[in-house]
Amino acid sequence: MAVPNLSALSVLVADDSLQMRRLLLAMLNAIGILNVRTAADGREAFEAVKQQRPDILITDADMGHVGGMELVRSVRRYQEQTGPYLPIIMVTGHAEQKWVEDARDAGVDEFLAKPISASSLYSRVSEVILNPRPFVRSGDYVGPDRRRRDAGEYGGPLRRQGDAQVTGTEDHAIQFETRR
Amino acid sequence: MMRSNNNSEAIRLVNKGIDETIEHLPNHLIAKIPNPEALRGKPDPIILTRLEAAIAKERKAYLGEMTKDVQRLIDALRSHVRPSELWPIAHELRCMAGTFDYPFLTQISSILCALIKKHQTSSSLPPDEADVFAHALQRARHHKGSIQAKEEAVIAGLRKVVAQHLSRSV
Repeated sequence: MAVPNLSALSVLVADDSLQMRRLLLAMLNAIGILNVRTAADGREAFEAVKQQRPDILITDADMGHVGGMELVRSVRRYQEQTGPYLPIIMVTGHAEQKWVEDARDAGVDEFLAKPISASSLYSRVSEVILNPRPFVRSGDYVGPDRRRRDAGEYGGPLRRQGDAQVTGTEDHAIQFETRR
Repeated sequence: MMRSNNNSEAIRLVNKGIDETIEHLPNHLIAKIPNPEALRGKPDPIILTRLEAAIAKERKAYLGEMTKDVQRLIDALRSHVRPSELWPIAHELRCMAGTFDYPFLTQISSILCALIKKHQTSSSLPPDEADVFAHALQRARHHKGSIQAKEEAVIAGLRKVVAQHLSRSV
Protein backbone atom coordinates (compact mmCIF):
# COMPACT_ATOMS: atom_id res chain seq x y z
CA MET A 1 0.00 0.00 0.00
CA ALA A 2 1.05 3.59 -0.55
CA VAL A 3 -0.28 7.02 0.22
CA PRO A 4 -1.82 8.67 -2.85
CA ASN A 5 -0.66 12.19 -3.56
CA LEU A 6 -3.88 14.19 -3.89
CA SER A 7 -2.34 17.59 -3.23
CA ALA A 8 -3.13 18.94 -6.71
CA LEU A 9 -6.87 18.36 -6.33
CA SER A 10 -9.36 20.99 -5.22
CA VAL A 11 -12.69 20.24 -3.59
CA LEU A 12 -15.72 22.41 -2.88
CA VAL A 13 -17.83 21.39 0.12
CA ALA A 14 -21.40 22.73 0.24
CA ASP A 15 -23.25 22.22 3.49
CA ASP A 16 -25.37 24.50 5.63
CA SER A 17 -24.11 22.79 8.77
CA LEU A 18 -20.99 24.51 10.06
CA GLN A 19 -19.94 21.39 11.94
CA MET A 20 -20.33 19.20 8.86
CA ARG A 21 -18.27 21.63 6.79
CA ARG A 22 -15.57 21.53 9.45
CA LEU A 23 -15.64 17.74 9.59
CA LEU A 24 -15.44 17.27 5.81
CA LEU A 25 -12.67 19.86 5.55
CA ALA A 26 -10.65 18.06 8.24
CA MET A 27 -11.23 14.65 6.63
CA LEU A 28 -10.28 15.86 3.15
CA ASN A 29 -7.14 17.45 4.57
CA ALA A 30 -6.36 14.14 6.24
CA ILE A 31 -6.38 12.31 2.91
CA GLY A 32 -4.09 14.92 1.42
CA ILE A 33 -6.53 17.29 -0.31
CA LEU A 34 -5.47 20.63 1.06
CA ASN A 35 -7.25 22.91 -1.38
CA VAL A 36 -10.74 22.74 0.10
CA ARG A 37 -13.26 25.58 -0.14
CA THR A 38 -16.61 25.63 1.61
CA ALA A 39 -20.02 27.12 0.91
CA ALA A 40 -22.98 27.42 3.28
CA ASP A 41 -25.78 27.05 0.74
CA GLY A 42 -26.51 26.08 -2.84
CA ARG A 43 -26.40 29.61 -4.20
CA GLU A 44 -22.96 30.32 -2.73
CA ALA A 45 -21.76 26.93 -3.94
CA PHE A 46 -22.95 27.52 -7.51
CA GLU A 47 -21.06 30.81 -7.64
CA ALA A 48 -17.97 29.04 -6.30
CA VAL A 49 -18.28 26.34 -8.98
CA LYS A 50 -18.32 29.03 -11.67
CA GLN A 51 -15.49 31.09 -10.19
CA GLN A 52 -13.16 28.51 -8.72
CA ARG A 53 -13.79 25.48 -10.93
CA PRO A 54 -13.14 22.81 -8.29
CA ASP A 55 -12.19 19.26 -9.29
CA ILE A 56 -14.86 17.64 -7.09
CA LEU A 57 -18.05 18.97 -5.50
CA ILE A 58 -19.30 17.44 -2.26
CA THR A 59 -22.76 18.71 -1.39
CA ASP A 60 -25.33 18.09 1.30
CA ALA A 61 -28.70 16.98 -0.06
CA ASP A 62 -30.92 18.93 2.27
CA MET A 63 -29.75 22.52 2.68
CA GLY A 64 -32.00 25.34 3.81
CA HIS A 65 -32.24 27.97 1.05
CA VAL A 66 -30.99 26.54 -2.24
CA GLY A 67 -30.78 22.80 -1.62
CA GLY A 68 -28.42 20.15 -2.89
CA MET A 69 -30.72 18.88 -5.66
CA GLU A 70 -31.20 22.37 -7.06
CA LEU A 71 -27.45 22.97 -6.89
CA VAL A 72 -26.71 19.76 -8.81
CA ARG A 73 -29.26 20.62 -11.52
CA SER A 74 -27.83 24.13 -11.85
CA VAL A 75 -24.29 22.81 -12.15
CA ARG A 76 -25.27 20.26 -14.78
CA ARG A 77 -27.19 22.84 -16.83
CA TYR A 78 -24.26 25.24 -16.57
CA GLN A 79 -21.73 22.60 -17.56
CA GLU A 80 -23.77 21.51 -20.53
CA GLN A 81 -22.58 24.73 -22.14
CA THR A 82 -19.20 25.23 -20.51
CA GLY A 83 -17.75 21.89 -19.44
CA PRO A 84 -15.66 20.39 -18.05
CA TYR A 85 -17.57 17.68 -16.29
CA LEU A 86 -17.54 18.04 -12.48
CA PRO A 87 -17.91 14.90 -10.35
CA ILE A 88 -20.51 15.43 -7.61
CA ILE A 89 -20.75 13.46 -4.38
CA MET A 90 -23.98 13.97 -2.45
CA VAL A 91 -23.96 13.64 1.32
CA THR A 92 -27.31 12.51 2.64
CA GLY A 93 -29.02 11.17 5.70
CA HIS A 94 -31.90 10.01 3.52
CA ALA A 95 -31.72 6.38 2.53
CA GLU A 96 -35.15 6.29 0.88
CA GLN A 97 -35.24 5.04 -2.70
CA LYS A 98 -37.11 8.18 -3.83
CA TRP A 99 -34.28 10.43 -2.63
CA VAL A 100 -31.66 8.31 -4.35
CA GLU A 101 -33.62 8.32 -7.62
CA ASP A 102 -34.19 12.08 -7.47
CA ALA A 103 -30.50 12.67 -6.84
CA ARG A 104 -29.49 10.40 -9.71
CA ASP A 105 -31.92 12.18 -12.01
CA ALA A 106 -30.46 15.52 -10.94
CA GLY A 107 -26.97 14.33 -11.97
CA VAL A 108 -25.20 13.05 -8.84
CA ASP A 109 -22.24 10.69 -9.32
CA GLU A 110 -21.91 9.13 -5.87
CA PHE A 111 -23.67 9.11 -2.52
CA LEU A 112 -22.10 9.45 0.89
CA ALA A 113 -24.48 8.33 3.61
CA LYS A 114 -24.48 9.88 7.05
CA PRO A 115 -22.98 9.16 9.45
CA ILE A 116 -19.81 9.66 7.44
CA SER A 117 -16.98 7.26 8.18
CA ALA A 118 -13.31 7.42 7.27
CA SER A 119 -13.57 4.61 4.76
CA SER A 120 -16.82 5.80 3.15
CA LEU A 121 -15.43 9.25 2.32
CA TYR A 122 -12.20 7.77 1.02
CA SER A 123 -13.96 5.24 -1.18
CA ARG A 124 -16.31 7.83 -2.77
CA VAL A 125 -13.44 10.18 -3.55
CA SER A 126 -11.42 7.29 -5.01
CA GLU A 127 -14.39 6.20 -7.08
CA VAL A 128 -14.93 9.55 -8.81
CA ILE A 129 -11.21 9.79 -9.55
CA LEU A 130 -10.59 6.24 -10.75
CA ASN A 131 -13.93 5.40 -12.37
CA PRO A 132 -15.55 8.54 -13.76
CA ARG A 133 -18.89 7.88 -15.37
CA PRO A 134 -19.51 8.66 -19.03
CA PHE A 135 -21.33 11.95 -19.54
CA VAL A 136 -24.82 11.75 -20.99
CA ARG A 137 -26.80 14.42 -22.81
CA SER A 138 -30.40 13.68 -23.68
CA GLY A 139 -33.57 15.69 -24.02
CA ASP A 140 -34.28 16.06 -20.33
CA TYR A 141 -31.03 15.00 -18.72
CA VAL A 142 -27.44 16.16 -18.59
CA GLY A 143 -25.03 14.41 -16.25
CA PRO A 144 -23.23 11.19 -15.45
CA ASP A 145 -24.53 7.96 -16.93
CA ARG A 146 -27.22 6.77 -14.56
CA ARG A 147 -26.75 3.13 -15.50
CA ARG A 148 -24.72 1.86 -12.61
CA ARG A 149 -21.76 -0.18 -13.81
CA ASP A 150 -21.15 -2.48 -16.75
CA ALA A 151 -21.72 -6.06 -15.69
CA GLY A 152 -19.02 -7.05 -18.15
CA GLU A 153 -18.71 -6.92 -21.88
CA TYR A 154 -21.37 -8.85 -23.73
CA GLY A 155 -20.32 -9.87 -27.18
CA GLY A 156 -23.42 -11.72 -28.30
CA PRO A 157 -26.36 -10.63 -30.42
CA LEU A 158 -28.95 -8.16 -29.10
CA ARG A 159 -32.24 -10.03 -28.92
CA ARG A 160 -34.55 -7.82 -26.90
CA GLN A 161 -37.05 -5.69 -28.71
CA GLY A 162 -35.78 -2.50 -27.04
CA ASP A 163 -32.11 -3.23 -27.72
CA ALA A 164 -30.20 -0.67 -29.73
CA GLN A 165 -28.72 -1.65 -33.07
CA VAL A 166 -25.71 -0.14 -34.84
CA THR A 167 -26.72 1.31 -38.19
CA GLY A 168 -23.75 3.45 -39.17
CA THR A 169 -20.74 5.39 -38.01
CA GLU A 170 -19.64 8.95 -38.45
CA ASP A 171 -16.52 10.58 -37.00
CA HIS A 172 -16.24 9.16 -33.43
CA ALA A 173 -19.95 8.64 -33.37
CA ILE A 174 -22.00 5.53 -33.69
CA GLN A 175 -25.62 5.91 -34.66
CA PHE A 176 -27.99 3.50 -33.01
CA GLU A 177 -31.62 3.02 -33.80
CA THR A 178 -34.27 1.03 -32.03
CA ARG A 179 -35.20 -2.31 -33.52
CA ARG A 180 -38.70 -2.63 -34.80
CA MET B 1 -25.53 16.45 -33.97
CA MET B 2 -22.32 14.90 -32.63
CA ARG B 3 -19.67 16.57 -30.59
CA SER B 4 -16.32 14.90 -30.29
CA ASN B 5 -13.47 16.85 -28.83
CA ASN B 6 -9.81 15.92 -28.78
CA ASN B 7 -9.59 13.00 -26.42
CA SER B 8 -13.20 12.22 -25.80
CA GLU B 9 -15.35 9.69 -27.54
CA ALA B 10 -19.01 10.25 -28.09
CA ILE B 11 -21.68 7.73 -28.90
CA ARG B 12 -25.12 8.75 -30.03
CA LEU B 13 -27.99 6.45 -29.20
CA VAL B 14 -31.50 6.58 -30.47
CA ASN B 15 -33.20 4.05 -28.30
CA LYS B 16 -36.84 3.76 -27.32
CA GLY B 17 -37.43 7.15 -28.86
CA ILE B 18 -34.79 8.84 -26.66
CA ASP B 19 -31.95 10.54 -28.45
CA GLU B 20 -28.93 10.66 -26.16
CA THR B 21 -25.23 11.28 -26.50
CA ILE B 22 -22.79 9.44 -24.28
CA GLU B 23 -19.35 10.97 -23.98
CA HIS B 24 -16.31 9.29 -22.50
CA LEU B 25 -14.39 12.36 -21.42
CA PRO B 26 -10.67 12.45 -20.66
CA ASN B 27 -9.99 11.78 -16.97
CA HIS B 28 -8.56 15.13 -15.84
CA LEU B 29 -8.52 14.15 -12.19
CA ILE B 30 -6.35 11.08 -12.52
CA ALA B 31 -3.90 13.14 -14.55
CA LYS B 32 -3.37 15.37 -11.51
CA ILE B 33 -2.30 12.50 -9.28
CA PRO B 34 1.30 11.29 -9.57
CA ASN B 35 0.51 7.86 -8.11
CA PRO B 36 -3.17 7.08 -8.83
CA GLU B 37 -2.61 3.34 -8.37
CA ALA B 38 -2.28 4.08 -4.64
CA LEU B 39 -6.01 4.88 -4.61
CA ARG B 40 -6.99 1.36 -5.59
CA GLY B 41 -8.06 -1.05 -2.89
CA LYS B 42 -8.20 -0.31 0.79
CA PRO B 43 -6.74 2.95 2.08
CA ASP B 44 -3.22 2.91 3.45
CA PRO B 45 -3.15 2.56 7.28
CA ILE B 46 -1.43 5.95 7.45
CA ILE B 47 -4.42 7.56 5.73
CA LEU B 48 -6.89 5.73 7.96
CA THR B 49 -5.02 6.81 11.07
CA ARG B 50 -5.06 10.43 9.88
CA LEU B 51 -8.76 10.23 9.07
CA GLU B 52 -9.66 8.70 12.42
CA ALA B 53 -7.60 11.37 14.19
CA ALA B 54 -9.39 14.12 12.25
CA ILE B 55 -12.79 12.66 13.16
CA ALA B 56 -11.80 12.27 16.83
CA LYS B 57 -10.63 15.90 16.98
CA GLU B 58 -13.87 17.18 15.46
CA ARG B 59 -15.91 14.92 17.73
CA LYS B 60 -14.22 16.37 20.79
CA ALA B 61 -14.79 19.91 19.52
CA TYR B 62 -18.43 19.20 18.71
CA LEU B 63 -19.67 17.33 21.78
CA GLY B 64 -19.61 20.43 24.00
CA GLU B 65 -21.58 22.28 21.34
CA MET B 66 -24.01 19.41 20.98
CA THR B 67 -24.94 19.49 24.68
CA LYS B 68 -25.63 23.22 24.38
CA ASP B 69 -27.59 22.72 21.14
CA VAL B 70 -29.85 20.10 22.73
CA GLN B 71 -30.61 22.41 25.65
CA ARG B 72 -31.22 25.37 23.29
CA LEU B 73 -33.60 23.24 21.26
CA ILE B 74 -35.51 22.04 24.33
CA ASP B 75 -35.80 25.63 25.61
CA ALA B 76 -36.89 26.88 22.19
CA LEU B 77 -39.55 24.17 21.88
CA ARG B 78 -40.91 24.97 25.34
CA SER B 79 -41.02 28.69 24.68
CA HIS B 80 -42.80 28.16 21.34
CA VAL B 81 -40.42 30.17 19.18
CA ARG B 82 -40.91 30.47 15.43
CA PRO B 83 -40.20 27.25 13.48
CA SER B 84 -37.63 29.14 11.39
CA GLU B 85 -35.61 29.67 14.58
CA LEU B 86 -35.84 26.00 15.52
CA TRP B 87 -34.67 24.78 12.12
CA PRO B 88 -30.93 25.59 12.29
CA ILE B 89 -30.52 23.88 15.67
CA ALA B 90 -32.58 20.81 14.79
CA HIS B 91 -30.92 20.50 11.38
CA GLU B 92 -27.43 20.74 12.88
CA LEU B 93 -28.27 18.04 15.43
CA ARG B 94 -29.72 15.81 12.73
CA CYS B 95 -26.55 16.18 10.65
CA MET B 96 -23.97 15.79 13.33
CA ALA B 97 -25.19 13.73 16.29
CA GLY B 98 -25.26 10.47 14.33
CA THR B 99 -21.80 11.08 12.91
CA PHE B 100 -20.48 11.24 16.45
CA ASP B 101 -22.33 8.18 17.70
CA TYR B 102 -25.53 9.74 19.00
CA PRO B 103 -28.01 8.15 16.56
CA PHE B 104 -30.99 8.48 18.92
CA LEU B 105 -30.63 12.27 18.94
CA THR B 106 -30.25 12.27 15.17
CA GLN B 107 -33.45 10.26 14.71
CA ILE B 108 -35.45 12.54 16.98
CA SER B 109 -34.17 15.72 15.37
CA SER B 110 -34.76 14.27 11.92
CA ILE B 111 -38.46 13.68 12.70
CA LEU B 112 -38.61 17.12 14.28
CA CYS B 113 -37.14 18.63 11.09
CA ALA B 114 -40.00 17.06 9.10
CA LEU B 115 -42.53 18.71 11.42
CA ILE B 116 -40.72 22.07 11.27
CA LYS B 117 -40.67 21.95 7.46
CA LYS B 118 -44.44 21.58 7.40
CA HIS B 119 -44.75 24.61 9.67
CA GLN B 120 -42.08 26.83 8.20
CA THR B 121 -44.48 29.71 7.64
CA SER B 122 -46.33 29.29 10.96
CA SER B 123 -45.70 31.42 14.03
CA SER B 124 -44.95 28.35 16.17
CA LEU B 125 -45.17 24.57 16.24
CA PRO B 126 -48.37 23.07 17.66
CA PRO B 127 -47.79 23.15 21.44
CA ASP B 128 -48.60 19.53 22.23
CA GLU B 129 -46.25 18.22 19.55
CA ALA B 130 -43.53 20.67 20.61
CA ASP B 131 -43.76 19.42 24.19
CA VAL B 132 -43.53 15.79 23.09
CA PHE B 133 -40.30 16.55 21.22
CA ALA B 134 -38.87 18.55 24.11
CA HIS B 135 -39.52 15.58 26.38
CA ALA B 136 -37.95 13.13 23.93
CA LEU B 137 -34.84 15.29 23.54
CA GLN B 138 -34.52 15.55 27.32
CA ARG B 139 -34.52 11.77 27.49
CA ALA B 140 -32.13 11.28 24.56
CA ARG B 141 -29.56 13.93 25.38
CA HIS B 142 -27.03 11.55 26.92
CA HIS B 143 -27.88 8.47 24.89
CA LYS B 144 -24.80 7.34 23.06
CA GLY B 145 -24.44 4.34 20.77
CA SER B 146 -26.84 2.00 19.09
CA ILE B 147 -30.59 2.29 19.37
CA GLN B 148 -32.36 -0.40 21.38
CA ALA B 149 -36.00 -1.41 21.66
CA LYS B 150 -36.89 1.35 24.16
CA GLU B 151 -35.47 4.04 21.89
CA GLU B 152 -37.11 2.45 18.85
CA ALA B 153 -40.44 2.78 20.65
CA VAL B 154 -39.84 6.49 21.28
CA ILE B 155 -38.93 7.03 17.61
CA ALA B 156 -42.01 5.13 16.44
CA GLY B 157 -44.14 7.18 18.84
CA LEU B 158 -42.77 10.46 17.50
CA ARG B 159 -43.35 9.37 13.91
CA LYS B 160 -46.92 8.52 14.83
CA VAL B 161 -47.46 11.88 16.52
CA VAL B 162 -46.18 13.74 13.45
CA ALA B 163 -48.15 11.56 11.03
CA GLN B 164 -51.35 12.09 13.02
CA HIS B 165 -50.76 15.81 13.20
CA LEU B 166 -50.12 16.04 9.46
CA SER B 167 -53.21 13.98 8.63
CA ARG B 168 -55.30 16.37 10.76
CA SER B 169 -53.72 19.39 9.07
CA VAL B 170 -54.46 18.22 5.52
